[in-house]
Amino acid sequence: MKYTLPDERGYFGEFGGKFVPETLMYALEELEEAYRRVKEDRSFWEELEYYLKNFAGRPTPLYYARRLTEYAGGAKIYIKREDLLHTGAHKINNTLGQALLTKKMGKKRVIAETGAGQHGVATATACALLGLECVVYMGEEDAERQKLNVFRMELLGAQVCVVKSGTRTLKDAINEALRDWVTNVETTHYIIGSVVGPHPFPMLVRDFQKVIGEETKAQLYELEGRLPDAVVACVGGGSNAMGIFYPFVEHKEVLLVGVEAGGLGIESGKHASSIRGGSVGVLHGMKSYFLQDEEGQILPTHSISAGLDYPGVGPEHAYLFKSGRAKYVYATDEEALEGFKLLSRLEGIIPALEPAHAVLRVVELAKDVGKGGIVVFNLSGRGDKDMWHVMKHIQL
Amino acid sequence: MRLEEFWKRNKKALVSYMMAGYPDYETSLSAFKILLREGTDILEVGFPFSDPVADGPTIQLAHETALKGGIKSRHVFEICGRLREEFPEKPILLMTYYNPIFKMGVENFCKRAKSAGVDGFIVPDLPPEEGFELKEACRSEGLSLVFLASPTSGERRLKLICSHSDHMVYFVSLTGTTGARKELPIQRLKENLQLYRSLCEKPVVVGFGISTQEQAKEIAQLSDGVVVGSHFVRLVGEGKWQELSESVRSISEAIRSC
Repeated sequence: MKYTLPDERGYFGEFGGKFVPETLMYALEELEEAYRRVKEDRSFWEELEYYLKNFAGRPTPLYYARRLTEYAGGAKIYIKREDLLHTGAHKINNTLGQALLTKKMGKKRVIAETGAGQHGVATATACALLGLECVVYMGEEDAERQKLNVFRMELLGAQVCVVKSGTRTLKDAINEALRDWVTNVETTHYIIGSVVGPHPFPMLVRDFQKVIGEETKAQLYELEGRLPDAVVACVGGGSNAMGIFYPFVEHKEVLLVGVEAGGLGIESGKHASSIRGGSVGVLHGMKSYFLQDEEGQILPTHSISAGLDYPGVGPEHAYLFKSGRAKYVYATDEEALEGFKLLSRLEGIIPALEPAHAVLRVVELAKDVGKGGIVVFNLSGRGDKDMWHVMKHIQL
Repeated sequence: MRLEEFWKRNKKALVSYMMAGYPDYETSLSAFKILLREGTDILEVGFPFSDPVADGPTIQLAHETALKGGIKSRHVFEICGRLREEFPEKPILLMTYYNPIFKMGVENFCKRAKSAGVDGFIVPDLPPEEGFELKEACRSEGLSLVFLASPTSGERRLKLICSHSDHMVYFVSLTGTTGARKELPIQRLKENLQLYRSLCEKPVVVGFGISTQEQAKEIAQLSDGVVVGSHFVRLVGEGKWQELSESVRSISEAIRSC
């Protein structure tokens, strides 16, 4: 059956929607309309493709991880190398798309939130490229964990606003970005960094990220002449996962696996696994899974990786989980660090802490699928930004 | 039906907002009583939430403090119940973000609100498009659901809001979050309200940014009521009781004289 979600109201099954203050409703309608227009506009996609290719470095390789495959002793493992993109992660796919869309809408100011800083850097980069004013909101705790990225954003001409309210992480950076948007909505576009937020953002971000899955599908067809048995990606808000999953959703025989941040373990209560450890709620404009108490108050999260440290997940993931189309597991901080070392030593690739969460699950899955099978792992970003942080946790 | 009754008998309203449990349970209860005694016509009881995206710094602090102080939904309903006993006639609206309602279940939430003497809800992150479930549940309990309009709501949206909002509409004075402002965009607001009047017959109260007698008077001339929130919340937070009483009284008089 053809997969056509979201529906007209912006829902993926029971998830999604537009739960925002009235002031923002017109901006969401305006964005929907602008996107409808560019969807038919060949010149828009040609321009985006030009920048993706010549500026960002697409297509990224689909790399056969020989030694990791041997280590797992099962299915062949392929790595989609989003870590090789300009600015170091898949985030640039979306920010280039949305920044071009901002220009089409005639807006000159862009705001964004950032956790690990990758989306902030990618937004600042796209804004520098296209001459847009850029303000990035970042939680105080994250700004501390990712000092280097704060400097990078400022170097690129963005203004970084450090958010001191609430838990001082990604959730609060989004709150503050929403407050800015509600104030400056008539001149400003909000470039959300993941497949979260009110409709049409989850759809928009997915559409700008689906290039990952489309390339993977074509590359694997060329290399192996077939579809993979499984596709694995880490999930915070879920943009890199949605980007690689989406072109495979209709192929029911392809197992889709999302790996959430298990922190110190689900039972410890200190984690960021919204699907595995949360319940259905409404926050940041969407109905989805959130970490919350029985009164609907959002709970603090914990993850070693700032990029996954978010108490919610995109509504399309909520739908894929509820419908059984995708499977969601988690990896603890400790497992992420183990994966971090493993990929560095076996493949000469230092992953970002976010996709490092998926490494051990990929190895296990390759074993389960067995010889003759194929598992694809989306390596969404590189680890340079995490060096200082990881040095505190591992001894060589 | 107190809200409906109120608008049958009155032309202008002072709508006052205060956070339940800020700075603590008992103090907020005293604050609500002062607001009601000194001239508040419609009371908005703030329900604390972890992520109040429509609120500015003053009310954000109130949310955070109330939650840190251990305020739960049962305390908020209890406060409403106690106010209801002492003030049987005054309309009381709960102002809450949607998630606490959703998590409790819309029907359950409405039942508990009703039995606490609450008359309805204002939910700043719930546009009419997403309000069907809550609207249904409100209807079966006889509660009002008041929707918000904003300077960015065009003709189509104003009509939609008007048709779904019960007994009145809450018009946001500016694009932004709650919090006292020195200057309000009066000229634009005039145009907004003119458009509103040409499309909707329901009473309209204006909120966000209003803190002085002069502002209240100016806004009351353009609308049917004025909402004051952050200003009162700040006075309560600073323990300025005398100033609170005087402020409520003077703003109430300014509105009535219009």
